[in-house]
Amino acid sequence: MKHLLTVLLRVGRSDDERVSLLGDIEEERRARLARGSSRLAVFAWSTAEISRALLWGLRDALVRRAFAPRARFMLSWPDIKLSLRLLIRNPGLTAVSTVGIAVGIAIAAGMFGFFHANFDPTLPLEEGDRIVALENWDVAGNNENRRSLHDFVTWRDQMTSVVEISAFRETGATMRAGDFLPENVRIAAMSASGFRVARVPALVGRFLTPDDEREAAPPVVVIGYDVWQSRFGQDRGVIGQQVRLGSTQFTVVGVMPDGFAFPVNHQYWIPLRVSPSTIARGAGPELFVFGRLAPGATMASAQVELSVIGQRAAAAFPQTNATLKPQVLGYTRPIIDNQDMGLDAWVMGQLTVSLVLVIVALNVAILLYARTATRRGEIAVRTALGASRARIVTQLFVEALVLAVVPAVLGLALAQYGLELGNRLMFLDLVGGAAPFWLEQGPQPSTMLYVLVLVVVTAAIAGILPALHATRRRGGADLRQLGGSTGPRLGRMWSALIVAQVAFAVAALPAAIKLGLNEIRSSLTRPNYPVEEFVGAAVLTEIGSSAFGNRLLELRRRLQAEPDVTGVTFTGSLPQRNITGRIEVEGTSAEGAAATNGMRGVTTFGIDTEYLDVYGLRVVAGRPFNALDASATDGPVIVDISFAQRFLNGTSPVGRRMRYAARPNGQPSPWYEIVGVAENLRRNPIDPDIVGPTVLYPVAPEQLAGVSLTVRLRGSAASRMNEGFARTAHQILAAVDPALRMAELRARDQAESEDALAVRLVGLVLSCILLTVLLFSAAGVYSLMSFTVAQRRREIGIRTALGASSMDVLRSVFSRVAAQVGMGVVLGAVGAMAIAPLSNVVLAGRLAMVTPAIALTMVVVGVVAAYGPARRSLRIPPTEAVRAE
Amino acid sequence: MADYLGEFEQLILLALARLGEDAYGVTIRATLIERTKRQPSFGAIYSTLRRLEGKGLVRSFAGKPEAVRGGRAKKHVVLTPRGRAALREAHAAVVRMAEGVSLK
Repeated sequence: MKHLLTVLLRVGRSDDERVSLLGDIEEERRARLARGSSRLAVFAWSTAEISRALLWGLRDALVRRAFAPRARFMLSWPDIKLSLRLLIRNPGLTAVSTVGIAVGIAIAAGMFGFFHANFDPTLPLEEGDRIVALENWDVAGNNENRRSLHDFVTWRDQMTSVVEISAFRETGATMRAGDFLPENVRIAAMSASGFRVARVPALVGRFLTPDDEREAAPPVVVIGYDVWQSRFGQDRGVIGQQVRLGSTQFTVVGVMPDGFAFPVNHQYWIPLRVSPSTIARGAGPELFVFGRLAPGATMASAQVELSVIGQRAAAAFPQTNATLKPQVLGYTRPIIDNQDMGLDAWVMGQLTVSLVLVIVALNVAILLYARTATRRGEIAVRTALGASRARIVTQLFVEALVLAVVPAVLGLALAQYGLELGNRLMFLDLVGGAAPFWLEQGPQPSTMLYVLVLVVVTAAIAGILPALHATRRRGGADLRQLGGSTGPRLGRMWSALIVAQVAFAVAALPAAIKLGLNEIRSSLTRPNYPVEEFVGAAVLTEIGSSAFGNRLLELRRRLQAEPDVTGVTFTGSLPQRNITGRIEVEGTSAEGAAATNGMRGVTTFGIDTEYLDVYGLRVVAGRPFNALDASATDGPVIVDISFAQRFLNGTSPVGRRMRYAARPNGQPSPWYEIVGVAENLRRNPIDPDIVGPTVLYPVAPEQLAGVSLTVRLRGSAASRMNEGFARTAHQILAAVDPALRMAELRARDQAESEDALAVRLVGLVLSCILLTVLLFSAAGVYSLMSFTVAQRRREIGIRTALGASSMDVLRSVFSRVAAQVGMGVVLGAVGAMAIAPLSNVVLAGRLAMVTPAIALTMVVVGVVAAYGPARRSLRIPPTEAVRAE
Repeated sequence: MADYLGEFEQLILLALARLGEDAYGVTIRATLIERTKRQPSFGAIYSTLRRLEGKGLVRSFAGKPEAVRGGRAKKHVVLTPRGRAALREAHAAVVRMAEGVSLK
């Protein structure tokens, strides 16, 4: 994160030096990329360079303050060699620690990287940190209000601390040029001054000028480098050529350079033409307003000026502006929608996540502790030979450091994978797909740095804590024990640790297992129709148009006439019926209604009359929709079998009425009559209950401005798409009306796999956590248990010498095991009950067995761990066991 | 008294003398790489420059932010007269020491 990097690079140097240093590294980085060095090599170089800069700063600061005239702490090669040897000699310990630390680091670094990328990132533009966004915040609704055309004009005319104030709005159209397949493209309708804010000149031709914004000016478009390359073969003669966007011909006047995607991720720019004289205050398109801080101005001073302007507007136009507070924000804030997130929230979140790693480190410390304790003899010898305590602690720290390095690399890789999934999901949702121009690809130096800090902290906890404890006692006693077999006795502390380990596993694991299982089961949900025959697309009317009218029916008719097409249907949502909330079915008990207040909601959308036929879903009771239903005011609905099972225990809902219960701030919806029951659209082979209930209502084209179009084809949709169905569909669309737009035209099974992204990400994180907790609990109990029993060797030997039978000894060992594990199970069960209401996880049905199963696992692990050392002790001749004293 | 100069300090002052007005982190480093075949890190260069500035042998001023540098300003560095004198003295000392010594 740049904040962390900024703070760290400040050590030992002034602000302007830090800025210049980072600038140098950036300049050199770009130069290397331009010379054709691989991204990986350049990345490695810049990471190393930043690390060295940090070390130099630290060294200078230390030298200046005379804290450390000579470095005391040294990484010595023999220490590292010894550590590596120990890792190989204890493969179990190494494996468990590696997995644990890797997962801990992956979670922390993934989160860090995500915030770094999305929390006030530096814009890769000249003085990018001085580009700001201006936005009206509606304090009544606690959300942004972007219908701010009039305020935009006021701000632009009156503000002095922010200059070049510009606006853009996102629009889209079908792009047609030459022989290419028509494509739905995203367009930035932007003030001409927006280009001056970015301070990037056009590569060919010119960018937009204020003249282009006039209502009467000829339509012009500036295109991005990627479009220029893919559509125009980098032809410099592109200037003056015609491009059709929707139903309008635009003349290309300029090409922007490679990498330019300002304001977000755009490749087409047209002038923003909105006139306040024709649009009422508080109406009009949603605008994103931005500008540059004037020389000398700061965010704070700009905010002061803007607030004054906002207060004047609130007084002059109380109807529209009374609750609006204009804000000066970091440029990316309104786009990423994290306007109100403060640095403190970020730091708190990051600290919490880092805590995961502290817990992991404590677990590793416990494992290492067992090993360190067995090495007391070695430590005593080294102390006797003159090693200082610091020297020995350093060596144990280095051992932990070496142990943490490989998992750190693994964790970083894992974090990067998760991060890319997360960013893809987020930008798909927020900005329609392509990554925004400020997003840096690949692992960032700051994340590496954070991981470095984590590694050192982990090693400090896992290495130094046990080391301090192990070196606390004087060496003489340990030396004396060298020849004997007793070793240290750690009685109560070990017992407490075992109890805590078991309790934690029993308390925390069931909830995690339940979440994980749910996730796995959900991912098995499959479509209940031959998905491979389906093609889906979004079809939208031109910007500003309200509804399709007959055009949608015409589109359906023409598509149906194609030889490969077996069915065409559309679905859409009406705002007034797009309600979520508790479902109430008339005439059912209150309990039945309350039962829906769970995690799985009810899916609701509008369908045309063809929908059920095209998907091949049978109506099992009642009737399908007819042409008149869409116009009926009380709107009949069709529910699926899952709905009937969930809310009516399987009795027929036909003829009953349902509605959405009131939410805190509103009225309940009207009652809708259920006229039919259809088969479920999806099914889950393991758990049919996991398929959420669906409510379908009828829609007609005159009510909609955008629909999801579904076409069912003969045979494989993917291969039909390859054979040119996409082109056919676009041609048909253009023939119906060139102003209509079609986006995301894809075979449905492809789209399905993209939808699975989110599930994969959640599954990845959950299964990692699950695995780690399970592994650590078992390994911790095992190592502690076998260690404590091994400590009792002498006692066992003496007992055997005094005539105790093997059974007696084993009984004594296992009764202690039983007591410790038993106490842990009881505490854990109490803990589980305590956290159940908080974590909202109720273990019912077969899952009720999870807690006892985990308890049993812990008992088995404890018994197995104790059995080995106990048997070994029994085999030793009593004389040998007693000889030690 | 004359200012004592370390070897790396001398190299950097020579680079400044060579670069004149155009001296900043990237060009200084490039000059050092080209003529000494070393690969000094920016951290080391800045650390040395700061020390030299503390001794009054160089002075620095901030330039304009540039897009190629991610919108960051350069820190230009120039030799002060005192720095030039120190460099001359250090170089003369090396020449005097080397006089009549065969390094073959």
